Amino acid sequence: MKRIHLLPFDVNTVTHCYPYISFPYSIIHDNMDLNFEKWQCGKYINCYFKESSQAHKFIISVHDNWSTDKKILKNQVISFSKETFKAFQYNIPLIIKKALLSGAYPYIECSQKYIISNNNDESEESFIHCLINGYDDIRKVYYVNFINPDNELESCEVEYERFETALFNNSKRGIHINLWKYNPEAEIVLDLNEIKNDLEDYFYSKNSKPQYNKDRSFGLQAIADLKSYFLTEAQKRNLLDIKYLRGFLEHKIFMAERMKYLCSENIIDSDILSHVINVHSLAEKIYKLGIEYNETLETDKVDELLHLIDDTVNIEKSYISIVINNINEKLKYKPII
Amino acid sequence: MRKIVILPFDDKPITVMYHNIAFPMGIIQGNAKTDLIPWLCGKYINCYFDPKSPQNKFNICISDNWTIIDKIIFKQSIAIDRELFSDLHFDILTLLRKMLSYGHYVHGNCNEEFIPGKYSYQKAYFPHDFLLIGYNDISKCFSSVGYLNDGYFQRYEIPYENMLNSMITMKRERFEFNFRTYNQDAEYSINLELIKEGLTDYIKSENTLKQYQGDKSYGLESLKTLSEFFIQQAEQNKRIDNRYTRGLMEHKYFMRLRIDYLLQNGYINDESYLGLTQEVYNISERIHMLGLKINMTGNISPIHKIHEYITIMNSIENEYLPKVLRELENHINCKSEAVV
Repeated sequence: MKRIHLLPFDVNTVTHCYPYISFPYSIIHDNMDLNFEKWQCGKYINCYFKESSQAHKFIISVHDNWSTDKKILKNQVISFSKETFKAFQYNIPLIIKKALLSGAYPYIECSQKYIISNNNDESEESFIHCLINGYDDIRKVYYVNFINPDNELESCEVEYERFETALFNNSKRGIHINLWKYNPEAEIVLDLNEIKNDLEDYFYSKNSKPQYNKDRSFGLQAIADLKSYFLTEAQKRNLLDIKYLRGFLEHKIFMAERMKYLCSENIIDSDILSHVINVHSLAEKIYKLGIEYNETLETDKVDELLHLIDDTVNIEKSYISIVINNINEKLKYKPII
Repeated sequence: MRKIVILPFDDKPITVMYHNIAFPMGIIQGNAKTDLIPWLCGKYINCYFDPKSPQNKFNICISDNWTIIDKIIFKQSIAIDRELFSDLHFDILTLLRKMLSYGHYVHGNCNEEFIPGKYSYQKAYFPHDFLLIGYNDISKCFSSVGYLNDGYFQRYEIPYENMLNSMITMKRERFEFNFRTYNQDAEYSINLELIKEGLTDYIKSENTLKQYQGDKSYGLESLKTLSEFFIQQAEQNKRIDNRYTRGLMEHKYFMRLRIDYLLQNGYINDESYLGLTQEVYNISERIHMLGLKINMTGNISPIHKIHEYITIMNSIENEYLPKVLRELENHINCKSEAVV
């Protein structure tokens, strides 16, 4: 068995608001060659807001499922109770290393305090999702990636033994190891029909996908609800959740990348680009204002932030319908590229 | 590891319409020490018809998920590529036996071409779900339950070698097993809100649960669709799927059980419901018999009788179930007012 093994993983990823969006994106980004922009063009179009969710209110991915549906990542699972792992004497380092050697990335939830070095939360019951992309059998460490409490993608080395403690020293009954394997054979197509449908869903605030249909608002309405949420939080003098600020920015980054790609393929008019670049830069300002508000609690920052969100919505309302029309025109001739 | 292990399983599960409902019920009935009826009152209320499903169009079980949500059965699982499976030195027979020896029922899919007693045995590749409830290292057989070629749900044995062949000939790139464990602390109390929600959905022909959304018909409407489907099948000289007629009968059995329990315990009061629910159950029995008769004789003329019976059944339920629901809602409201 190889002493040191490392699988490709992009640590400078665009998206790091949630592990289940960030990790597959990073794996795909570093494994896929020529087709990455084409793949990305069809992703993260619609979004939703779920008031009742405690920590995942605003999500920029509807029906993604780690891209397993498109067979870009293949999922394998080993999910046993802790008693089974112990009784059967299953060797967790061996499972992780063999999985990595087979090309699969282990994705595991464990106690946070053993993973984050400058951790303030000493509870065994605070959990973190980790993606392992390699190991060093000489120094007995895994290469572990996670989203830290500041909502940044962080990579670190964790000793085998410490990682095992993080898995076992908590009240969870079982240990659930997902193994995500990149599939180089996956067919990457630019499905204009699907992109058009997703853009329509976003524009008309609906969701025509089978999942996530309850207790949520979608698309532009989700943005409006996110805005109301920011307002309410600010009125209560609460901090704004950085995940949602980041998610909003990422949504606009992906929209800009999408439009650039569609433009490069001569599917939409090049005039559109100035609008998306404008929205992108407004989203960056919104993000910064949110951070500044969290540092100062000055409500005028939130007033400006809310005003800028309105501006982004107005711009999107003005250009997305044109994009949909452009795609419709193309679809008359060539539905899939 | 012990030489012989047989985990508790009731050979007569209360529902045998599909393996995936019968298996958890057999485990629960075989293990539970208390009365299941209060809990059963909240189960199998709504039903659906899915025209796109190739094999399981009609189902009386929505969002059951092997009772995991009710914390009755816990799940462990493994689903990994064959190559990694062997790299990790997992051995199928050892894994399955060891899991059983620790009290975990083994559930998965196998190729029935290698399972003695099955319709496809030594005939053709046929993937189907199985449940193992024990093993015997002396006779080198697993104990399993399910339908055999004679059409009865029963306990039977599978030699180790056959089991192994049925796994390795599966046309899948991975090995997948679920291990189900009965929770000895499971509770079987009544949940009036759940019954109310289920009945509301059933009467309104809706599904307000997250699962099983899509192009399906629900509740009373789904029975109408089922009836139309039966006619269509008969007109095309196709067999009546007796799993569906059995499922319909089981659905009415559970309704009778529910109404009876609600009446006996004072949650509802109008005793006339009992006669109506019995009448509906009797009709469902006749439908099942007619379905069997059509398949045995090939004479499709009783199909219109089935259609007529389902219409009568629906009209009875349409009449009395809203009243049951109102009474139940009143009871729930009175109780919550009393608490305030």
